[in-house]
Amino acid sequence: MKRPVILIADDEHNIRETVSQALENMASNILLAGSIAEIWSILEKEAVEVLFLDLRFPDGDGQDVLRSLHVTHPQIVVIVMTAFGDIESAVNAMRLGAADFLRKPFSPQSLRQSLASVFGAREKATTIDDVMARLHAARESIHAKELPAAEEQLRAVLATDPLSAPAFNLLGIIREIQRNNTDAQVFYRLAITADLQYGPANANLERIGTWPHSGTIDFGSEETDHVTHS
Amino acid sequence: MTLRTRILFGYGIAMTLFTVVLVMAILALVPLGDATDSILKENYRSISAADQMLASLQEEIIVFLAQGEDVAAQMRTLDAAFLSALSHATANITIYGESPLVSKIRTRYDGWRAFILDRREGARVFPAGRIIGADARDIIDRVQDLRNGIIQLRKLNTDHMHAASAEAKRLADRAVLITVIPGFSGLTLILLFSLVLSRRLVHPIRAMSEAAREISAGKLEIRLPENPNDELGELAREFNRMSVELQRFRDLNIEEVIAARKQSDAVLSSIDDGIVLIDTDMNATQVNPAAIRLLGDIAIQPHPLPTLQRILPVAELNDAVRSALVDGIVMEQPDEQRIFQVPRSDPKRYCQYSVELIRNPEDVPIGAVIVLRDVTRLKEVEHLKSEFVMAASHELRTPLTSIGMSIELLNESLSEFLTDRTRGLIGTAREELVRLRTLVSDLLDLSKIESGRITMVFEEVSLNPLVERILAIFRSQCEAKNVSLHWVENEIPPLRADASKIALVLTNLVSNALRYVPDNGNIWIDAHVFGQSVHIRVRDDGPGIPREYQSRIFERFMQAPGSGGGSGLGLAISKEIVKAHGGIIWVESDPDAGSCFTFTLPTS
Repeated sequence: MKRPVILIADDEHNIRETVSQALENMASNILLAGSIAEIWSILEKEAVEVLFLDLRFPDGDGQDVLRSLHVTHPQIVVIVMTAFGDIESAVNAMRLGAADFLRKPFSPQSLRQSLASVFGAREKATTIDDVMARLHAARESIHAKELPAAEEQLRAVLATDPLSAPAFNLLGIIREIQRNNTDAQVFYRLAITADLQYGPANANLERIGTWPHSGTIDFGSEETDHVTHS
Repeated sequence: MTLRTRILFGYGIAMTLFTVVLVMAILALVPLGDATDSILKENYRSISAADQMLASLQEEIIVFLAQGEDVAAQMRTLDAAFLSALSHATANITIYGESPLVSKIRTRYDGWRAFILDRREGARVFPAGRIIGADARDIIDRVQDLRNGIIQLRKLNTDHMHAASAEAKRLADRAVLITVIPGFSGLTLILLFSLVLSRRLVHPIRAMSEAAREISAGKLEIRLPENPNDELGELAREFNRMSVELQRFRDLNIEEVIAARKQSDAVLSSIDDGIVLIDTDMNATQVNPAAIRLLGDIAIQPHPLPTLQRILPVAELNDAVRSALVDGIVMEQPDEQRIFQVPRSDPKRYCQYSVELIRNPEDVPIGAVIVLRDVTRLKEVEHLKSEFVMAASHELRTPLTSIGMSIELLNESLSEFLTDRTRGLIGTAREELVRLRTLVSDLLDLSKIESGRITMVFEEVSLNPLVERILAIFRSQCEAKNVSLHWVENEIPPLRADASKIALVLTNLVSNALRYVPDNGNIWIDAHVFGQSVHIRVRDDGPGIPREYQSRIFERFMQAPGSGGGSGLGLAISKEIVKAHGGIIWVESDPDAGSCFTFTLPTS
């Protein structure tokens, strides 16, 4: 993986410090910003590739930054860090164009994994046929219990098509297998946001919302992939 | 005079009167009979005798003048008939003046007979049809005299008969008079008496029934006139005494009721909680000042009584009161479900209500008491508290992240240089960090549940698969500690619950038990149906909970000694969840004999 230029934006000095230390071996350059003003001034000067973005700053809201970035710097991969661990804010961030989200408190490992899968995927994204192949590969990997490999494929799909409902759905399944139901719900809901008609995500969200989780996981099929990507 | 004597007296007079009338009638009728009898006796026979004599005399004259062959024999027969009639008349001398007349007739007849006998002899001397003048004159005179005498006798008797008849008629008239006048006056008297008596009887009785009606209508001051000195007067007196006693009793009762009412009014107005009394028609009969303060400007007028719906348009409260009055039992509801926002309140105010039934001695509800408690402040404080807890736990997350990251990074970069002891220190720090994270997220969960930010999704839940899931979650932990986790299966109807929240309760209880039971210990989960609810138990054969902790074990941060970590919030969260389901949770524990946590859930 190419080492990206990373900007870490958080008003807490200690977070900036620890995050930058955790990522220092994966980055070509790490920049730090403690306020929204600083973010914009750095973005003006530096070719930032990945932005770790907190959602709360003394001088404004991280969501506004996300919205503007979508227009001004669409090439930047944004990973949102939030202390409000609810599903709503995560779904919101992803809708506004974030590639991934991390809920505080997080560990260095989860930071690195997120960066690897999201940024690594970006390099691999190519064509629509490729997308179909990757979705197929991701399903195979999940069945083979190779979850990181599956996630990498899916991130690549999302890098090409940020509104791929099957990719979000499969990411949700991966989170569910990892016993992280909250994140799983985020991804299922993102899948539904991407394509309201996408049945498997609807079924999975309904299943996970009830207890005991009855029914089986819906992986979706190649046909549904074609329908939603055409 | 008593009524009885009066009746007897009245009818006695009438009876006497009638007796008198009867006697007088008899007395009047007897002379009437006598009179008729005397007419028959005194006159009729004399008249018929006179007629007989006249007839005989006529025959004698004819025989005498005819001068037949057997004159003597015929004369003898006629003579006997005349004498017989004359003796009849003689025997029937009854009237004054009759006797000389009869003697006169006898004398004259004697003279006539002598004359005839004489002339009969002489007739043989004189040829037939030759009666000389002097003789003829003599015969005519004699016959005339005799006839006159008889006719006089007849007339005397006829006259007398007419007089007697007139007398009888007079007597009859008198008898009628004597009978009719007292009879009618007696009748009138009895009629009058009956009229007076009935009026005297009926009038007081009617008055009494009227009075009784009034008394039963509540007019106890009614009095009856007591004047007549008889049984009715006595009855009236007793009646009056009864109404006096009734009145006294009522006045006494009213005083007591008023006193009791004043007391209860005083109590009601001095209570800080709002109190509304409701009758069976859902009308507010009484509202204390505190309730008026709480509910704002509600005017309570006595007519018509305002309905509860009007003064308190809160659907849950109205439903609760209505169903309590109908079913005769107050549905138990957890505190939070009995809080409502006061209608028309600005700024918003909140009240918590509780409903109690008022029952009559037969245990039938005759009304309800609604107690209203102002929980606005409490709600504000609670809101502030959960806001604070939420903000605090958010704020805690940032330093937690920094610390966690630092420790992980330290561990990564330094682990090869560290001794086992210092590596142990880092391990401790990591462990405690995990605990802190759990604590923060539990705190957040608890405050969310308490502030109602977590909405419960109630649905039909079958217990069996839910418990199976819990068993699966804990399988590896139990194996690690060599603890047996038993599920005592039982027929349980579907529950009405939020499945994921109930799973959390079970998870909390099992992980608690798991923390306390020794190696090779046991944990049992079972469930039983009790009426409309299901009791779910989590038992263990661990060391039990000391008595002094048992009552406070569900408070937050309350942990029994010997706990192997945990946030100290699990039971508090469980309690909140169970409460939100309308159930309760409790613990029974004998030190050294294990603990048993039970919670109840409604069936669907």
